[in-house]
Amino acid sequence: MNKYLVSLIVLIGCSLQTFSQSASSRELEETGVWMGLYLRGRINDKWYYYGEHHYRRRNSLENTFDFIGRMRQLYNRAGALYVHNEYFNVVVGPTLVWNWSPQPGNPNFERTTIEPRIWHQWLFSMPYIGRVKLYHQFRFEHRWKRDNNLDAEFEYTDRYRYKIFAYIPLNKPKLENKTLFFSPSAEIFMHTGSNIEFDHLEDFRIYTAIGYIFNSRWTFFGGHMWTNGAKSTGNEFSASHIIRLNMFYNFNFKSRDKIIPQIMLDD
Amino acid sequence: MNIFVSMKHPILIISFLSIGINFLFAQNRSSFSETQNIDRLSTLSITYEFIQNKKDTILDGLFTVESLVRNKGIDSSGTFEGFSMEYKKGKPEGQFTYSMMEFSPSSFSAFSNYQVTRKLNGLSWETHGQIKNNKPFQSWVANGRKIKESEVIENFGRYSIQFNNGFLSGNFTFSDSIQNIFINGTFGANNLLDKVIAFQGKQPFELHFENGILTKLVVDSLVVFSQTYFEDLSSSKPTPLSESFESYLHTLIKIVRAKTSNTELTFDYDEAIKKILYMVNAFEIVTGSKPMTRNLSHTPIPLVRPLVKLPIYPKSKQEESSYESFHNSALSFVKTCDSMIAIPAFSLSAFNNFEITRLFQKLKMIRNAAFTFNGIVAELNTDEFIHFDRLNYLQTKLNYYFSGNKKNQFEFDSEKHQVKLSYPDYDSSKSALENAKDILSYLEKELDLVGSQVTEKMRNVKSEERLKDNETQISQLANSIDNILDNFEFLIYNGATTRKLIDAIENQKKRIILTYTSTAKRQKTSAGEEAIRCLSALEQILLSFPALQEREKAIYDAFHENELNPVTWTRMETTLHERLFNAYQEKLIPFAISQIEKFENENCLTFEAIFNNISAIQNYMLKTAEENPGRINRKIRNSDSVEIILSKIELNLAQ
Repeated sequence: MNKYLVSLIVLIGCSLQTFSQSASSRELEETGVWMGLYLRGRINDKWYYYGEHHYRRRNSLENTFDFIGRMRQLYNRAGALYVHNEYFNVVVGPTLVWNWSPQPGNPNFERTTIEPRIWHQWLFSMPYIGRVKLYHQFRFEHRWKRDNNLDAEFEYTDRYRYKIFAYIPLNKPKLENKTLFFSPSAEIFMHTGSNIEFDHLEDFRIYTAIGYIFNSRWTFFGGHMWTNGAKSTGNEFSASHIIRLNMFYNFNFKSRDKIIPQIMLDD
Repeated sequence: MNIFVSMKHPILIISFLSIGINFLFAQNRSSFSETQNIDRLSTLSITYEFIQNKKDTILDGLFTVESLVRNKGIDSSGTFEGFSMEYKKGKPEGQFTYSMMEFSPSSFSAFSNYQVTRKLNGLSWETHGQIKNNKPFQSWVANGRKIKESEVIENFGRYSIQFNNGFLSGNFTFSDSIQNIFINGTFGANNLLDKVIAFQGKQPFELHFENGILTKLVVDSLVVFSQTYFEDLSSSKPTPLSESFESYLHTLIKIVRAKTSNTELTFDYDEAIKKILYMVNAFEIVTGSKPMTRNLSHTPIPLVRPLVKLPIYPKSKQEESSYESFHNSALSFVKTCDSMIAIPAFSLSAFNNFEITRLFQKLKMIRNAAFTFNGIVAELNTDEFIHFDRLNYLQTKLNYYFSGNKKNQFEFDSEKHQVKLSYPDYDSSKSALENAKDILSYLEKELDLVGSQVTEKMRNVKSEERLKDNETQISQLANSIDNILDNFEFLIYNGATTRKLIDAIENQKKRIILTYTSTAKRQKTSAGEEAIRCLSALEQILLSFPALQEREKAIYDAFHENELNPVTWTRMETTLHERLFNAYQEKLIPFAISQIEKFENENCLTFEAIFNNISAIQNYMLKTAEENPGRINRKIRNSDSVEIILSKIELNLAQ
């Protein structure tokens, strides 16, 4: 277990090192709060409905540290989730994002713009390594995005994301009901498209969270995320601190009684 | 005017009525067809014709089951199985076909109607046979074929066996060119193996039998071993009928392997047997002959057999009730025997009395006999046999017990105690069920006789000896209960409440033993027996707990397996288990403790009644949890006390 923890820390450390080269172009520009509701609806053993709904705010123009001064995004992701087995699953579906104007009240900006996407995600979960459950998540997004400037046009880009994260139970040896767990993660975002001229690195995030599995339906999750992302100029980067508060709700489309398989109790 | 003119109206009316009556009373013949995708890889289809009358649905016409199971992967290989049988008025009659093919797609694919058609390679086995009067009839033949690009390119195997009046008889032949083996043999007039000649390549060896017992093995015209070698092989005892067929074949393997390890025989009997069993398996499907299933686990029968077991049509009420009543009476008889054996069994070693010990042995044999016959009938009462002729099967089994096992099945033959229990002869003029009932009533009479003999003998034991026995009994009791408690602790959940239950039982045990030990000398009558009776009742209760645990675990496992947390993708605990556990730990065990602690002056009947109630709660919890996990939770949550639960259960059980 220790070996893997060390590897993870080294990986995160190296990543930080990579992005710390141009300190002058990496300024803290944003703080925010993202609240998310994650839904998983079990249809049968293999298929689930996937839903992800975020309400995101960011700091006001006047104060970088007020976290909630401006509306940032409403973010809705849906998908069909296919579970191959407990170690691999894949989701595909549409996303619709509303982006709020960076300067509320400025007539040169539209109040909101929409950003449709098609996305798919490939999640690989590894067997327990001691207490640590490690995951590799590959997510691909095909986006039609435009700025909030008036008359801005939609531009098509592809985004490639890889996240490595771990769940480490604290009060129990395994992740089960009533488990408090610690979850470090690191995610890298790359993008391509006709308007991507300078750097294909779009964003890098380190998210450290604490979660609690209340029962097989509810899980609560929250923590701090540090991001280092490209600005619209493409060659400048800005950092942000985000507080994230998430709830996961799992439900069954079938009634609970029907989930229990018929079993033979007698010979 | 001719008759048709003068009788015009009556003829019309009579014609109308006769046609109408025909329509009214004609049995409605229908067909049923269904294809199911069992899972991603398996497809199953069933088709049959039946007649529906007011009471029953009766198979009549062709009955077909087919299964296709594809292997995992993308090469489209898999196993096909098909079974078809003609039924006449609910009974199999005529030809059956059973075929199986393990296939993989050929590299060559043909174009047909603008579509690519897969051509298959593989090996197939197809068995044909006749059923007449519910018995295998004449010859059954299996052909093994090698298939290439969907064409038969080689017949590599042929197995044939003969039946006479349902019994294996005459010559049989098994050949397989792939394995390079050839076996032929004969069943004698008594349906037992007579002679077997087998070849591998050019090397022949002969197995000679007398009345089914292997007496001689000859290899290359040399007698390798004679009868004395086989006396220690218990399985070489003669047993008739189909069951022996399989056991003979295994005996052959055992003997040849054991005795020819120094020779160069490389005959692959296992493979040969496996092929033969394909055919035997068909026999099983058609006849429902249970003994055949013992060693069939290695045969690739993925779906057809379970489907054949499905309740195709409901049992007739009359048939069901006759089996039910036999089953119930046999079961209660077994229980009676158990209670008779259980009481003195604790103190069996205390009675150093040859006659009494011998009688107890006989009691046990009667019990075992009843249990065996009940087992046969209970087996018939399962859905598995729903569309087979149960009476025929029962008759077959009883024949087996009468002729094959009569000499040794229920015989206690240690050096000192030679006890035998023989049955009345099988009466072929009666039905099989009637015969089974006769056996039961015979056993009941035997039980009465032995029971009165036991009472008589025990009464005759001298009173001094009896007092001494009482003390010994009590110490025996202590040991027995200790053993039970040791096992009990292992089998139930670890928890504070459970520990209390064990302590309560322990305390009561000590109290009972202390009381009856101190009074044993004064109370010459039944003090010791009363203690034994109470404690044996306690034992029965304790023994009932492990079964509950196993069942709870089965439910838990089944549910647990399916509860994948879609956040962490790990398996989670389930609330079902918690509900069951809580109900058990918080409601049932404390109630049991309170009842045990209260037990002071009640007589044993009260004690037993209390624990019967606990057993009823257990069974009810379990039944409800199996059927509808939500219900038990609601009931227990809404109940204030165990007494209320009890009353609800009584109400429910009474319904």
